[in-house]
Amino acid sequence: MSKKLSVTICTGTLCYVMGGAELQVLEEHLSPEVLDRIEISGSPCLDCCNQDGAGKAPFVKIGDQIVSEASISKVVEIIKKELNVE
Amino acid sequence: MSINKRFFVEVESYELSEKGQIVSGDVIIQHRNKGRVFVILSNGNGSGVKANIKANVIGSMALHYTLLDEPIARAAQTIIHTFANDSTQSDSSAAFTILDIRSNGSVNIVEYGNELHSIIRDNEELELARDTIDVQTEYGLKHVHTSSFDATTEDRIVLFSDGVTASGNKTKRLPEGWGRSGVLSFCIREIVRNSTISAYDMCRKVIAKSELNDLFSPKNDMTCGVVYFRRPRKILVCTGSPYNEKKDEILADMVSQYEGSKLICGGTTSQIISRELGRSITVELKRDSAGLPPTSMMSGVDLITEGVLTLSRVKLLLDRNSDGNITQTGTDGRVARMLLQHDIIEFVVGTRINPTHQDPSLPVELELRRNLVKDLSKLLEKKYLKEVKIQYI
Repeated sequence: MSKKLSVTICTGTLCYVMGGAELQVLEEHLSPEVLDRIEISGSPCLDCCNQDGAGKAPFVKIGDQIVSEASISKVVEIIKKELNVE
Repeated sequence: MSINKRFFVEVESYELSEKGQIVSGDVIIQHRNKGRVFVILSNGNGSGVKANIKANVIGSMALHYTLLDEPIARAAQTIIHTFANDSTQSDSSAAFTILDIRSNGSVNIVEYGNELHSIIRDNEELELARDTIDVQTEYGLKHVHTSSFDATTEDRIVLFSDGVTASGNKTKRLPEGWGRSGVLSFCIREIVRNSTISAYDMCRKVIAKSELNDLFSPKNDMTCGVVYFRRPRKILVCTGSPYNEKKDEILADMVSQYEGSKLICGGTTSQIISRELGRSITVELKRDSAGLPPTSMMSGVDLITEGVLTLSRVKLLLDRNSDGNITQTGTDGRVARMLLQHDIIEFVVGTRINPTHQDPSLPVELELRRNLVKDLSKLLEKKYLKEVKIQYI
């Protein structure tokens, strides 16, 4: 079985107040097939907000890619693209 | 030796008013000042609003004279002169008991008119030699009793009003009332059953038993105060990253070596400790009923939460709460309960400011961490009588 795609949601203060709170229900927006191929976890802080050029909070890390201004729809889209599913 | 190292002085009281009265005529006042703990039991003679006000004034006078280290004879004389002017002129018409507990463990006790206190050590009563001070008043010679002892860990002092000792009076089972010896044996039995019974539980048990003795219809006000010299329950609360990265290691060492409960409030703070100690963090991704960011777990740490938002809500919750009974199930309730379950709360506050939190467009809830901890500490000290220390790193 191939390695699962890791999806790490930042739950730090800034990400949370900037809209990251809704990302906790990401699972509910994904089909069972997609959920089977990814691993969703949380991080107390991805430490992206302090890095210049990283973009704006909230942040989600999908594989090695940092997604800024993450929303459910944006994250779902990127996950699908990474997994090559429609 | 400091009071922090030897023991924590837990003081709790509970009371029931005489049936039909809305307030009690007995009052227990506790006050902490510079390591000293004062506990006053005063009796306003009778029950109801008038007696309650009188008891409060007597208690307040007794407390302030003691705070100013005034000679007890003078304090007693003034209190008796002011209040013992009822028709009965009995000693109980302005009764008071003062416990003055110093940080080295020495306890001075002054009693006038009340039931004599009980000290319990090693499941037995510790009997003290009592000195008598004669106080000349316009109602004749009055006798004030004083005694003192050095408290050790696990000692308990039990104070009770005459409503407790008289409970059960004229019933078939206790025709003479419960009596001081009855109360004392009951307390000792409870300690034998549970050697670490808290002052909170003990005073409630005494009053519940008194109420039972009076067949659930109290014939008099019933008040019980318990002082428990117990090993302190300590909690370390780390919040915020150290100002200097070189201090990260020191912060992590503090957490790993702390003897007591450990709470980390802050995402970055927990990442630093996780990195330094080589322990992984697991975030529990689920919706919190208080709408706060999720909590996390790390081995050796009791709880990890987000920082300023959570602490702001904890402060709000503790500020609004009136009886110390926190029922909220969210993270704020969980943290507040954790804090209240401990006697000594040690904050370690990292002073590095997260520049991204200073964006004026962010919610106002994002207070400066230092101010937030300072306010929370004041609240814990003044309202919940906790011993709080703050260390900045």
